[in-house]
Amino acid sequence: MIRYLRGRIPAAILVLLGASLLVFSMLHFLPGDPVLIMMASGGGGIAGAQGTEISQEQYEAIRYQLGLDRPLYVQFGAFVWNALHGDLGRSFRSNQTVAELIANVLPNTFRLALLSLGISCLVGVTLGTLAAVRHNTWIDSATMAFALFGVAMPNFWFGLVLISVFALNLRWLPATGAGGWSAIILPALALGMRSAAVIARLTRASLLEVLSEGYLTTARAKGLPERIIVVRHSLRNALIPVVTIAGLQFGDLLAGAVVIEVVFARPGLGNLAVKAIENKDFPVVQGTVLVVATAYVVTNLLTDVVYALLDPRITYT
Amino acid sequence: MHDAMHPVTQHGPFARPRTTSSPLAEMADRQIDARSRLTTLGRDLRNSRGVMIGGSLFLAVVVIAIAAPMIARYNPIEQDYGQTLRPPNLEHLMGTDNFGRDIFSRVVFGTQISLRVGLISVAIASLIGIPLGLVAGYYGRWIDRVAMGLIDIMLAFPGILLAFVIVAVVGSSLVNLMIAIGIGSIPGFARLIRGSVLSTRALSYVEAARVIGCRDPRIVGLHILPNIASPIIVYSTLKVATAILAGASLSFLGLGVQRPTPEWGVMLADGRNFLQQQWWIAAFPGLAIMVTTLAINLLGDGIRDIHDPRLQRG
Repeated sequence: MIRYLRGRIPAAILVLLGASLLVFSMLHFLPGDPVLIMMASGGGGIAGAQGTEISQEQYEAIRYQLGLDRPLYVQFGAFVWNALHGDLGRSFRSNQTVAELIANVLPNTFRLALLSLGISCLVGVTLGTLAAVRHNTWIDSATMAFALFGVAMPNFWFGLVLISVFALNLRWLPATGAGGWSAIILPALALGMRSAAVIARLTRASLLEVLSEGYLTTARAKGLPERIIVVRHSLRNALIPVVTIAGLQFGDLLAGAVVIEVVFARPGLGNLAVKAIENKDFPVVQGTVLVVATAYVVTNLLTDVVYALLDPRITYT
Repeated sequence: MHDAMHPVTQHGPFARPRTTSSPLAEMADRQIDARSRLTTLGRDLRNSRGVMIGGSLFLAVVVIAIAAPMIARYNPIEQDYGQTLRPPNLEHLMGTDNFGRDIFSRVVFGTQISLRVGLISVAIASLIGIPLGLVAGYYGRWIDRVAMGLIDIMLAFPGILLAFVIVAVVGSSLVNLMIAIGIGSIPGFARLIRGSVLSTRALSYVEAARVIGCRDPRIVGLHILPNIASPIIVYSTLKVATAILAGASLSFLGLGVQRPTPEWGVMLADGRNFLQQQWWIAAFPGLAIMVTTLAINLLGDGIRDIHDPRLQRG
């Protein structure tokens, strides 16, 4: 395991370095001069010369302040070094640091993604197990229909349906905002629906495969009750691939939160990033994207580790 | 025609008369073989409920997209302030929005946009992803390591995030949306193809082609690619649905197709403010997205089940 981690961790670091290079390049791939874009988007943060013509000296001064006068590799080195120290630059629009802006909303997004993951695992594993145990019955068909619709339904539309039914008509839960637990239920359901469908399908397929194994015939032959056979002997093995998918789903949920946060007007990384794109506030876009990518890479690494721990047959060399 | 299970006895007392003695007869045999394989495939496709339902629905969507000008009764972007916020009725089958535009006509024309986004972005992704995966898988070594390193970096951005970043840089428009989703879908294609090539590369017929002196492009193009075609077809089909969803999501966020173009995601964003009273504004474009992606998913899953008999057990 340690040998495996010794290979896997540097690989993850390399991927993160590559991802930060991509994020760093964003500002340099922009059509036009970053300084002029910054000025056009507000520019108050650094120069305080919003919307006004600037002289050549001012222009050079801003380039110097932003470090744009240095060679690209030096700029990238500084970008990574600063990011490692929690410095993701300053917003073009406000005087706040990007790290501060992200820190304010990050817990909201993580809470939403984690709750969605919890809901989707609970719903997905339960439905998938029921479908496999009651194979070829109406329960199986209903679960598969749920899975089909769950994957095809756009989560932002499902969110709007939930708002319409539970917030506007029944008035059971708030439609928007971030206050308290009641406000997170609808967004978490909207976000988790797709993952629940994916997990239900996988649990069913995986459990069906395990249920046909010879050792379960032995378990049945010695008279074990079906409940023990399913829960103790089958589900444990069947859930191994589910753990991997659930881990990967977390990244998708973080990315999906971008849309759901806008639907429910919840403060979070998604809302922050979308507003930043509208305002051409690129340091904020870079910061949010980098944070999500880092969270995703780390989750993938952890998923692999859990996978290896769960299944003793898996060896990594 | 005759496989190892049913050998034809050629010599000895039980020898059967040869049925294919001339090249012409052999050719006829091959044609019958190909025809029977096609017949089997056709029967499998027809017997698959998923393929039939999904295929019919998808065909209907394609017909609607092509015949949109004939099906839609109104101009999808023409505003009519005398007809604002009308509920569904015989005149306006899906009602009208706050600008008096006919929702049905907008949904019908939206089919064209969504199919374009789905098909063109998948075409972009496969045009880059397939050669990348082929080269990485076939040549291996440093080419594979470099290509897969790049792919891993792209995969660090989950879901629509990569497309999101690209749109942030190049700006929002229909063309940019298709390019962004296309680039965002490259890693999946490249990985799938590479994996398939790796498992095919070592097979004896590829080995044999190499031994008789076939050049690499011929081996890859004629011997490997046709044999990994089925996972490519299945993946591409399913990816069209994902791309349509991604396109609608980004347009919903204001980062894709711009108003007043009748795009389903944009229409949903417009309907957000009228959820309580005028539910039809957001309901129908949402249904359209769902039916289209459902059709494509059913079709893709059905084709996969036919090509992979192991899945038919479940």
